Amino acid sequence: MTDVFGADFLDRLHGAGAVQNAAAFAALRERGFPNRRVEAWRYTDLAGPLAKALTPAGLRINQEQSGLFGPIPPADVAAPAQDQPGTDALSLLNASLAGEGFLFDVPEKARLKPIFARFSAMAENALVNAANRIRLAEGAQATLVERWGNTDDSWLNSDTDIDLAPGAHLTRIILVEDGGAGTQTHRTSPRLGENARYDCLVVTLGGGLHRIEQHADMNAPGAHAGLAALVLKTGSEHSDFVTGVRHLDADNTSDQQVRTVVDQQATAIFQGGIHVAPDSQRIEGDQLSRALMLSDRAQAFTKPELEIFADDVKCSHGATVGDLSEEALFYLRARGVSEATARALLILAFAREPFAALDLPEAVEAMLDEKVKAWLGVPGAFGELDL
Amino acid sequence: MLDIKGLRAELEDGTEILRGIDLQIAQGEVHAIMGPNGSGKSTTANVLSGKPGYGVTGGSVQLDGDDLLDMEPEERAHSGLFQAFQYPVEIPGVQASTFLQTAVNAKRKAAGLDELDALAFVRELRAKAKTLGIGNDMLKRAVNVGFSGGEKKRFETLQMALLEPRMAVLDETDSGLDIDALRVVADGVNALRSPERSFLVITHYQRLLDYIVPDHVHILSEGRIVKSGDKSLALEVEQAGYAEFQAA
Ligand SMILES: Nc1ncnc2c1ncn2[C@@H]1O[C@H](COP(=O)(O)OP(=O)(O)OP(=O)(O)O)[C@@H](O)[C@H]1O
Ligand SMILES: [Mg+2]
Repeated sequence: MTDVFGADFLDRLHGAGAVQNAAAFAALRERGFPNRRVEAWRYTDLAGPLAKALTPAGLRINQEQSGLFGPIPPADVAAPAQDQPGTDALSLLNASLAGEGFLFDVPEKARLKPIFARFSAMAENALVNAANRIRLAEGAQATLVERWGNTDDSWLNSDTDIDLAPGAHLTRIILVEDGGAGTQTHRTSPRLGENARYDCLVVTLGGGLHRIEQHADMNAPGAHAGLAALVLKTGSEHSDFVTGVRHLDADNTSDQQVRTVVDQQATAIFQGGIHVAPDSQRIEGDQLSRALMLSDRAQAFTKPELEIFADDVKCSHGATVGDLSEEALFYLRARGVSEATARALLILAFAREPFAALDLPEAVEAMLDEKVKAWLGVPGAFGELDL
Repeated sequence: MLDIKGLRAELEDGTEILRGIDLQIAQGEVHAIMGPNGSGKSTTANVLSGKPGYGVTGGSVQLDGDDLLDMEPEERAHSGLFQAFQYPVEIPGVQASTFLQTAVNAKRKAAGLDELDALAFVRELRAKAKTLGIGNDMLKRAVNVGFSGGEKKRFETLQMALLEPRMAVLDETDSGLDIDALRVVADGVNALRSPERSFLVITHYQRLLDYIVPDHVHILSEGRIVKSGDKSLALEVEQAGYAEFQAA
């Protein structure tokens, strides 16, 4: 066998008898995992997780409220993310180990209250694979809050296939939160029908390495994809947020909003893709990435990738990197607010931008608010007043 | 109360702006500073508050015997200093009411008092906002974002009313106000006047001093106080301009 990247890791899995899908495994063993010479992986090194001794284990799902939501048996092959060289290795890993996943199936015209689900590993230091499916039938509306959490060195790896029928609207929060130095790699491929809407906010906190990918196919007019991320990283944490929106038909829109706060020697990357196919006229695709660097050793990279083959298109992208406003900090301190509290208040305001824009149900917004405050070390502070 | 002696300050590039300011404000007094554009009025206020970007190269400032220049900006606020800014800063994403509550509780905490609970704070906030003609909608907006010039000045005055400073420095709190708003803000200031509280009022207009009557008026020119007098000095300036007061 050739010495592909991650060969030892794969041989250990094979030796442990973990392989469920021999064809997928053979394909993966042949090509190996993407190393940093693969352009889409140049900022993210899988060597760390691949060196860990992890044991395959199942996905624990906690979700109590809805009969529309439940576990499903392993898919034959996890849907690979479109157009991402190297990334399909992780989908092949998922298929090789035949991860169970969840199914969220919403019938026509249903209007659901927010559904909260938590996902974690069944065992410690586990390698968990999941292949999930979300289907919203015509005109259905739902809000799904997913919390993916590790407390140790486990690796959660998932593919989520989403199909949004005409007029369906899915608001989805993916909260990726690790207490330990775990790894999470999640890919989502939504397909949007006519007038369908996909609003997704990824929040990533803690962990060793997080790579979250969203690859949306805009298949019909009137569709809108809002792909947002809030990345809060400190220590030696690493986050790579990757998007790819393919406008495959005319008259639809996408908006990507990324806010990053990096402290200590953390690293955050945003690779934002917009692709407009030759006959997809009257497309609007916006992208804005803003990063706050709280330390000289922290790093934030933004790599916009716009491929536009139609001519009647409005696409924009912008990226800023900076520190907190000195003026605002002084204004607060001049009113007696300590520097630490002033900083927390200003970072909170910055971090809230992507979810304040989403018009989320109050309970969801409050939950996210508290997450950010806890991360900032000011739990319960700055409560909203009832005026 | 406030004792400024020979205060000299420069910008980061070394340009000297304050060239030896001497000013003593006793408890309960109201002093006004007037002076041409660029004479160093805001710089004086900013140096007192501890705004970054200035280097103090000489002199001293004491507030009730404590060395003000040695303190962090928040400590100066806790000691009772307050500056109403000429150009209040916009803070997107921070609700005005949250900002006010955070400031009030920070000051209470520094004074060893319990934080006000939300209910008690809202009661006080509404009462004080009302007298300044500030409605709930403004308090729900982000700090100074989209506030008109006059609204910003009212909001500065509201902050002062809530924080109850002992030494308030008002930097052109009258500029940008229409005549009714001027009266509202002046009433707000006058309501705070007390034997324990002192004011330093920076203004270009004698008109404000009809409402907030000063005990002393000083003319600042090129970083120095070149003349001091009583309130009639303000009238004199209004008629004759600053030409005759230019620093030597
Ligand atoms: N942070 C700064 N950076 C650059 N220049 C400054 C700064 N602060 C003050 N200055 C300069 O110092 C001088 C004094 O400014 P200051 O704001 O104190 O004037 P002022 O008396 O308040 O004027 P005005 O009546 O126009 O408000 C001006 O020339 C101004 O340009
Ligand atoms: Mg000024």
